[in-house]
Amino acid sequence: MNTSEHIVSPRLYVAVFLALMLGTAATVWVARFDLGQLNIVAAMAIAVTKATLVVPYFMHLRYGHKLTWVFAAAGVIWLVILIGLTMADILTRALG
Amino acid sequence: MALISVLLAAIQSELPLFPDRTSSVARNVDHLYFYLVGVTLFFSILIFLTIFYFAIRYRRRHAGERPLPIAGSLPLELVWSIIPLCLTMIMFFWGAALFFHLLQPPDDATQFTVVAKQWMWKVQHPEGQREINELHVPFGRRIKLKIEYSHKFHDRLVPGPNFLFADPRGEHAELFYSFYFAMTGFLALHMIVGIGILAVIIWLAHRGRFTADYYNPIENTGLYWHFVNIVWTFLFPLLYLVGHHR
Repeated sequence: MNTSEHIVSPRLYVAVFLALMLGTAATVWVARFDLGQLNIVAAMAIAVTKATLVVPYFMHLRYGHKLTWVFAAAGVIWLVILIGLTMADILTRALG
Repeated sequence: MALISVLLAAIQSELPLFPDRTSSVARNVDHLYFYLVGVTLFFSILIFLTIFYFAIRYRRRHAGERPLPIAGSLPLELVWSIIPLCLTMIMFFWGAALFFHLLQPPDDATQFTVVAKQWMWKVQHPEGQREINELHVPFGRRIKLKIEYSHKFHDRLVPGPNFLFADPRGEHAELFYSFYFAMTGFLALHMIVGIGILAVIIWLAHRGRFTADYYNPIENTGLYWHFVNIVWTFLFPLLYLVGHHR
């Protein structure tokens, strides 16, 4: 299972790391404002952005086989099913 | 057998695993339960013993040893697919039959209507008598209870306070801290495991065990470590930032 023949340069790793630190700072900064429901949207948007940096570069998905992409996508779809069905319950409770 | 029952009774007195059977279906439910536990125990023990046996039997005997290619076996695959299929189908049909049997009251059962009010049980007999917080039933006859709730539907206290989204006794505190400690606790466990694996990998790399052709352990450790990283990327804002701007 050679997931990656590609060797990622330290420069790219450092750049991704700095971007992630920036993302963390942005999450903390944006949490100081009362945006109502948008707080969680902003926090999750930044988290998703950070994850889309970690998965392709730190976890080498970008240099992986297409089949690996399919498996990663299957994980995301499964997560959407789990969260979607939970939210379908919670968000409709008030409708009674 | 006598020894086992004495032992079971001793355990039972300290740790009530099997409550006394107080209904006519309890015996059947217990038998299904024994079947589940028996099947689980049998396969757990079989698999664990096999893992240990094979790990020792087929261990690497010298550094240059390369394992032989494994040839598949269709009959073997069929055997270990069909037997578990049958065993699990027995679980399913036995459990479903018992469940429907439990749901179905006998045809000749006399119906008592029970209304749960705030804060009492009102029982209506089929002949018309009423009782509060007490239930007298005819001796030797089958009865069924039709239970209704007349209060607290709007508060969603039915089917119970544990199904409320908010904590009934406070401001989400108990629900939040249950999540908080479960999530951070599991993340800490994952990190402790990850630090252990990283330490082993560093030690192996220091001893020159990895080459340009053999680096999968490093790759997989990186995958695991960054999986923990992503979990924290989402947990950190959810646990510490969202809703904390006050």
